[in-house]
Amino acid sequence: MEERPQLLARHTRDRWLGIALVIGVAAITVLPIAFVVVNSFNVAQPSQPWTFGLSGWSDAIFGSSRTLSSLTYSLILSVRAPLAVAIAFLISWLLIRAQIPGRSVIELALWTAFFLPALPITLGWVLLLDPNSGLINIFLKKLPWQLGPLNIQSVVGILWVHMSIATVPVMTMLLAPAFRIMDASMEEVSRTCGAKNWQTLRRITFPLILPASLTAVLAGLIRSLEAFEVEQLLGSRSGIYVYATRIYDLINYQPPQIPQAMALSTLILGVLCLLALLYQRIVSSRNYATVTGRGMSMRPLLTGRWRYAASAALFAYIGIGVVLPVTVLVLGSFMRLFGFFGISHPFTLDHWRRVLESPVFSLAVRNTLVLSLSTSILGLVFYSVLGYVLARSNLTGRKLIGLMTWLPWAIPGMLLGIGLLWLLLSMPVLGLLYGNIGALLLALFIKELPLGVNLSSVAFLQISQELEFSSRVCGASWFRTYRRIMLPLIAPTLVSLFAVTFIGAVRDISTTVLLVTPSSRTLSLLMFEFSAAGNIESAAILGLIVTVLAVGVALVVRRLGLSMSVS
Amino acid sequence: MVSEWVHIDLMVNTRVIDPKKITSWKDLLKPEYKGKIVAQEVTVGAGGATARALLEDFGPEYLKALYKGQDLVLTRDAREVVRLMAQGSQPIALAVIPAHAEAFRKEGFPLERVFPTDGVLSVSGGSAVPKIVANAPHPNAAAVFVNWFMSKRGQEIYTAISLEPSRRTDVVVPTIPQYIIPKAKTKYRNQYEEDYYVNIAPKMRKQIEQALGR
Repeated sequence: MEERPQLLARHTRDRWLGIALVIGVAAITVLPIAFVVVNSFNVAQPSQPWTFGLSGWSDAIFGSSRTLSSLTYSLILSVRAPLAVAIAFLISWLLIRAQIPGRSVIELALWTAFFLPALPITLGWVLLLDPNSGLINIFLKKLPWQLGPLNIQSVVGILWVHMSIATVPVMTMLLAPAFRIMDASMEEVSRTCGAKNWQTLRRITFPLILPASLTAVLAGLIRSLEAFEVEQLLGSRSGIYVYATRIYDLINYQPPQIPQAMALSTLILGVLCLLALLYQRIVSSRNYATVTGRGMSMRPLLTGRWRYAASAALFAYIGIGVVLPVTVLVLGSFMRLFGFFGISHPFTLDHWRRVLESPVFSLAVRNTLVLSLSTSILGLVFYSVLGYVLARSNLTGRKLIGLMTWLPWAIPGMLLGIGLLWLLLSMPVLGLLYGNIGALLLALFIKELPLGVNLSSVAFLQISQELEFSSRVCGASWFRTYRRIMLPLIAPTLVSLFAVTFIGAVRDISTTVLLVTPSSRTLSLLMFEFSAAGNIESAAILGLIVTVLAVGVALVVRRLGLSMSVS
Repeated sequence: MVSEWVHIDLMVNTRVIDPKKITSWKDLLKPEYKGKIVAQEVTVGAGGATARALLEDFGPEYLKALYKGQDLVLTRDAREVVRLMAQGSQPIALAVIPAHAEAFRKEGFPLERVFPTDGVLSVSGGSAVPKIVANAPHPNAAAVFVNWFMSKRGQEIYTAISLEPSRRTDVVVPTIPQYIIPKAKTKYRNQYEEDYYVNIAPKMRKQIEQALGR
């Protein structure tokens, strides 16, 4: 009888905590989006009072056939998300379960690939696969067989660039930790019962990795809608317009067609909310604990020649998809005119000298480090706490929080930027952030929230609660349990989380571009400014520097994470 | 409008194209030039300026015949326009930005401005139009900046980088090419005149998109 008031008090406390969290998350996710939705109905000129009208909507939907065709292309190109998850699933299995030779090099290369900035890499591909002047195409023409030309400026080309440097690597980064910590005994049992490798894969491994895969697919689908630079560069010549380039076009019209852009975004917002709801249903319907107290290490599944064949295939994939464009990029940064080998003195150090000597550059290095480190540290703390709440607690409004965490990805980064800009300028306290790194920090924290929270919540879901209970039964406090049991188990995921947030912050252009001022400019934004001004050589140099910086930091973090985790 | 120059509607790579063969805009409709022309996208600054000029001088039918009928390669990227012209795959370029053209000409690419006998040349202000946001918090700071920007020193710095000739007669930058400097006696279409920019241009954009069937 004595327990009841205590339970009741705890219940009330949970409720208030839940409500507070709902409000907190809503403030940073719903507000900027509400701004976009509300302003899709605004027909007034900028700086004039808000006037209701539907012309934004009708223009967006019926005004131009481009809208429909851009949505169709977006749909076609989003096929890369499920495709990449399938490939990443296979790669993770080969790396961790089959333990093919050279796996650490392959994994490292995939990490590196994900850090590569899209813009200069795409330029590298144009240099290689331009239908007329691409180096590979010129080579193909010389061969006796009638091959080519391979055209990078096509749907397949866009898919290839995305998948090789972004989608497949990031999906592998998300899935590999799930494989690594998964209880192998279930697979062992399956094999003991006489199942073949592929049967085990399909019936046991795949279902167990499902939540992590679903997060990856959903994240990939949403992100693919937002992808912009590659489509912009490769698509415009073959008339491939996607949702994000259409939005960009509308914003860059003279004068800008903001209501149309916002109406179009609101439309997509609806679709994405449905997707997020669907995801929640699937994930909450089953028990996904794959990490139990039982054995984790196991003997390699593939044997003999197959291991080497698989390894060779992955090395070839990395050679073509990562090493080749990077080499071209390095080469390009030393060229007087990027891609023109035929001029009298094609190579020069001038571009490097000019970039490295510029005071703008050293400021950008400092800004980038401060911004990315603070975003990822802040993110690590808050995302993992929110993820824990979603996975474990019974707080009021838990489901609502789960849904809201997806919202920041529901609109393109540039519109999120507009929403935040409005928020900063209209709220007295937040206004202090404008003009310094604080504004960018807030923007990136919001931008990386969806993946961060859901990635860590999936990691917690995977860990069987028995482990926590046994620790508590043995008398350990919650904090001690968290530190000694949970933290080591989810360390690989947390490391991925830190790295993904860090890279997201280092690479971001679209979300921060409207919030930046000359004193808070980052390396990526400087690269964007160079490339927008047509200075591709300097953009390539900054691309390389961003890559080296990000890969370096990520490697250190990765080392740290692997040494923290259980082996 | 602090600087002003003659908009580069048409430029060719003379290694591939004989500039003397293009005397009229109508020449561009010849079958031999199909797929050989690159232009900046009509929704972007310079690309829009060229499309507006062609619409005004030759009407929507011409615009359609040129942009659609000749399979124009369109890009939003100003550097890409010049790159394609220089590499020779699309040796004819519409809507070219001076600084990009000069970067390639400096390395020996034979790019030449072509002036057809028909049509009216446009003058443009490019990025050199200072605007002050209404009700902005620090109007005096803006005034100080604009004042510096319009000074001899400010204009020397700006024009040396952008290669857009200043309207200050005391600012002379030798690297600015002759073909973009307006001539005293020629009558130009001023696309940066306020009424044209604010009222006429947006209306024409709709007509252009209609003509191109978008």
